[in-house]
Amino acid sequence: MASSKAVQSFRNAAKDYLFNDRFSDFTIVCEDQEFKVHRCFICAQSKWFERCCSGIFEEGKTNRVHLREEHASVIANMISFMYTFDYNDSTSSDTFKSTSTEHTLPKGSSSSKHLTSPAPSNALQMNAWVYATAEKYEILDLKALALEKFKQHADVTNADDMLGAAWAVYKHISLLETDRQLHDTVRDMWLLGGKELIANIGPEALEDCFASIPKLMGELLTMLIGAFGGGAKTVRQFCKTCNYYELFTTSDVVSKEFVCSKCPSKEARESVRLTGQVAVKKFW
Amino acid sequence: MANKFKGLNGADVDFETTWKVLETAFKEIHTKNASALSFEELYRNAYKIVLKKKGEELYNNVAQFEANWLSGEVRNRVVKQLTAPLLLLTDGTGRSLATSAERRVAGESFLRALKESWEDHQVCMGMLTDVLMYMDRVYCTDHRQPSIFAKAMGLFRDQILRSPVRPESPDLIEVLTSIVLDQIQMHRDGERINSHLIKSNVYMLEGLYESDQEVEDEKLYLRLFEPYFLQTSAMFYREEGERLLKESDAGTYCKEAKRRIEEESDRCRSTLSEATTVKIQRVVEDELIRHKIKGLIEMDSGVQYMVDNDKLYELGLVFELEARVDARKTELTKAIQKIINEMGTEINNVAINTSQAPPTAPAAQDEHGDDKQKPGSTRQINQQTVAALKWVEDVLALKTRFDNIWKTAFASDQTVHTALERSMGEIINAFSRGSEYISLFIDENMKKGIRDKTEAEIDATLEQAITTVRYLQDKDIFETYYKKHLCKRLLLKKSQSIDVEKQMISRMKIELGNSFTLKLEAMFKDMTLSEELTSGYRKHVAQLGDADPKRVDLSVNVLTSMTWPLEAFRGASEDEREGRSNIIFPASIERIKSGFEQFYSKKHSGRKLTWQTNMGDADVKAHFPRSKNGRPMTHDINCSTYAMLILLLFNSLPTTTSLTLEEIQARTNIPENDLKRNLQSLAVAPKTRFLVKEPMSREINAGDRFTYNEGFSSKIIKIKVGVVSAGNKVEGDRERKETEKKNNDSRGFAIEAAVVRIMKQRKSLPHAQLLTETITQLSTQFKPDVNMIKKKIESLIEREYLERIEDAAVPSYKYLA
Repeated sequence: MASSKAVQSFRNAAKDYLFNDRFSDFTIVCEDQEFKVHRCFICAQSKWFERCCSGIFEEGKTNRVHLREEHASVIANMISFMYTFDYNDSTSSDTFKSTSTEHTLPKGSSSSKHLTSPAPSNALQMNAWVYATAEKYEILDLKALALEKFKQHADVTNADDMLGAAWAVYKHISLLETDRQLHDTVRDMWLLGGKELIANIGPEALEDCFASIPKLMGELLTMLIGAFGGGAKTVRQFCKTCNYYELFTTSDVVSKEFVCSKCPSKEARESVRLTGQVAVKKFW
Repeated sequence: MANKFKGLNGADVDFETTWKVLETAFKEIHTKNASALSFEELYRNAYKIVLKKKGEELYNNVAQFEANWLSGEVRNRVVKQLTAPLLLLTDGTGRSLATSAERRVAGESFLRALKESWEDHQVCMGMLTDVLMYMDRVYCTDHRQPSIFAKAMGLFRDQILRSPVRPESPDLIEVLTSIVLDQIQMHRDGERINSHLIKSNVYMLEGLYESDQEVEDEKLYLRLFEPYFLQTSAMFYREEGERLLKESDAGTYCKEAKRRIEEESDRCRSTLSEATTVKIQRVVEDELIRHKIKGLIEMDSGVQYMVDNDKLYELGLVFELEARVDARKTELTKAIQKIINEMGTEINNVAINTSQAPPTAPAAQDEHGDDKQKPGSTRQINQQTVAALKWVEDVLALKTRFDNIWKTAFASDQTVHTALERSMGEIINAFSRGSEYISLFIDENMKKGIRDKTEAEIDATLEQAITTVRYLQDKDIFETYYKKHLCKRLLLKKSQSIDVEKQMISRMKIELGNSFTLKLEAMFKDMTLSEELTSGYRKHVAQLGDADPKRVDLSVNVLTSMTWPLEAFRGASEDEREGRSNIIFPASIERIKSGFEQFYSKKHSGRKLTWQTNMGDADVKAHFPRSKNGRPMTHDINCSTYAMLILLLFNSLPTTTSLTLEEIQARTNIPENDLKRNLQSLAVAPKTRFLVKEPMSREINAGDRFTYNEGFSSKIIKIKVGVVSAGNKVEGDRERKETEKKNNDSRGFAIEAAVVRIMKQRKSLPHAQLLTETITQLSTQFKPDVNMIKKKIESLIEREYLERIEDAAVPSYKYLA
């Protein structure tokens, strides 16, 4: 085994080739961006690119692949990972654009600007997108890293973060139904956010969110309702006249007629107080 | 704010539309038109389908697409190449419908078409696999389906290979098999074929399996091709083997078999599969060797012929062939053993016949008056001695011959060696006089054979001698003879070199063990001590001062009793001579005898010397008045001690005095037989007739009279009187009986000693086990006779060394301390 020092040197050297067209032998096009890459880096990380580059399809012949239906910022992070084993998930600072060598295609020249989902607008969303991209192009280490970063970035009381994550994960990103790691994390975040989160989001946005993403609402409800036990409950019967109450079990309530012990009233209203526990996986 | 994350749902897919895109692309791929297709697009479409849980539909659609393609496009292309003769090959009728050249060309186009279809199919499926990699990864893994590639290979098997060429006709793979077998047959018949093309098809069959689970031993090649190949090959080689046995000689057969085996291995490498190499070799070996080797060896031109004519190369081939099928080389070993036994038996028979043949030649020669002084019996013994030497030499020649065959032809194989050794041992031990003859052979070499030989040659001779000894089972008998012969060599100074004698002893020590040579070494020690003793005595006499010129010089060999087989000097029929010590010596002799006895008892008190007068010899100066043409002459006569006594007797008498046999015996006390023999030498043999006998006849009889032969005449100064049989000869029947008896006695002792040793250690032992252990213990010396062991056990019981255990389940003995 190489010493960790040697590995570190190699990493540093590899970093120099990121977005550097020196020795570049392959081009990845996405939206209006063109990334000059090196086949040996991208194929080493991804089986998909290996087949893409080596096959006798058009890409193999032209040494150029157009990744349609992807966000350039996400792809830039994916490439970044292939060279540096890490990526920057901030969406504001446009790190990849500061480097000099990726080319912006002239507007309109990209024939397929038919992305249906909005580009990631915060770190949480970015990590979710990178996660899905890693799945698609079979870069399993990146997928694990993206999930890690996704969990790190969650501020459960931040309305933008929570809404953004819900939309991205439940609505915009396609994954296998069985691939639930992002979904479980978002759902647990919402539960953890609690009253404060709901207050921060505000009723209007919340309603809109649940209407648009019934799946998230359904999952949250399932968790919540599931937290309470069923069967016999202790019931309080309030006298409608004097508000005096007594405790009964549910079966008693059904068999016996209510007669107030303080006043002659025979009318009562009933209520039940429920307490339960929700198990949330620790992700923070 | 709420709307800012809104957008359309992620990839919504319509299966049918997406599939259409893929299907079109697949068609392009199959028609080799893929270079304009975008991998990214195809993958993305398939990926979306799988994400939307439509993996199964996609998988089935692809499979269906491939099935249609194969059964429609591909099958037609391949089947088109099948001509009628090719189709009919499966039931064997096709061979007669076309010449082999026609069949070969047609077969090759079919093989080529099939090969290309297969290769195309693999390339296309490789591309489809790339595009469908997400389906393989997710759907196939989760649902335990074979990968789409494996599925498509299975479809090729079902749609192309395992479907009938046309209704009611055999499956395509059967046609393929029969075409390949047909071509291989052409190749075996010496035609050139395109082996590369066949190999490609074999690759295909090796890459396909009976089921989509791709179980390793269910390869189509193993299931549907190889068995037929092996079967037809077996038939072919069975016939060829029978034909070859009929038509050619064994040598040719071997060469052909070897060539065929190598050819089949080559074929597996170049045309079929390496995996078949071992199996086809086994088939060829079965048909050409295993089932035929016996017949081959027994052919007129078989092993017997090869041995007789020294065909070492062919023998080597036979060996090599059988070694392939039988690590023990049973048949060859058997045959060789039989030959050795026959040749050995022949050698033994010659020796027996010679020894039993009546001495015809001497009788005839007697009439011619030649060599009259040699009695017929001596003549016969000489003849037998020659036969004995010849026997050993023949045996050694036989061994050398087969050793050479073994080394050159049989690759110095260990198993064969063991068998050869066993056979040699058998023939040597089958000959009852082996021990005696081998000892005689050594004797002869010690006396004459090693003269004028270099050290290396002597070494080789000794080695040969030891080689034969090694085979002997009854080493004790050999020891007896060797001692006897050595005894004579030493005492009569017949040995050429004491060094070589000692070398021989040390070889025997290595070969037969210390105990074997102990007594032999003791004999040498006695000889050395005697020399010292003699010279010591001479010095002693010289110191006495009175140098008497007439004093008789004495040289003595003091022999430890029991160590030396003194009976070697005795006539077999003679009794223990009681009278020996009473031999009457003349005063001059008596003086030195007692002188030495005194000298000896001073050195070694308490030891008793017994004079073996029958074994000594003497140098006598004799004066004959008319020996040299009527003039006096003094002769140096070497004769036995007894002859000396007789001569001294006559010397002390007036020349004309005569004595009868009885008188001589009375005055000397020489045992009658010895006396007769000595008188025979002195009065009958013409060259040493120092006495005159009356009446003049060959035999010495009671009442015969003897006188000094005044008229003795001889030109030779040194005369040797031969009485004591000078050389070692083959034993007469009487002697042999005595040797056997003695030997049986000593075996009896050895057995008793072994039994006691074993029982002392074990305390009690069942009968059978005691027998086994006794035999094992004694095996280095001889092979004990079971009856003798039983008798010895009986005897030990009688003498209360052992006792039967009464209530034992099996007969057992107990040791009595």
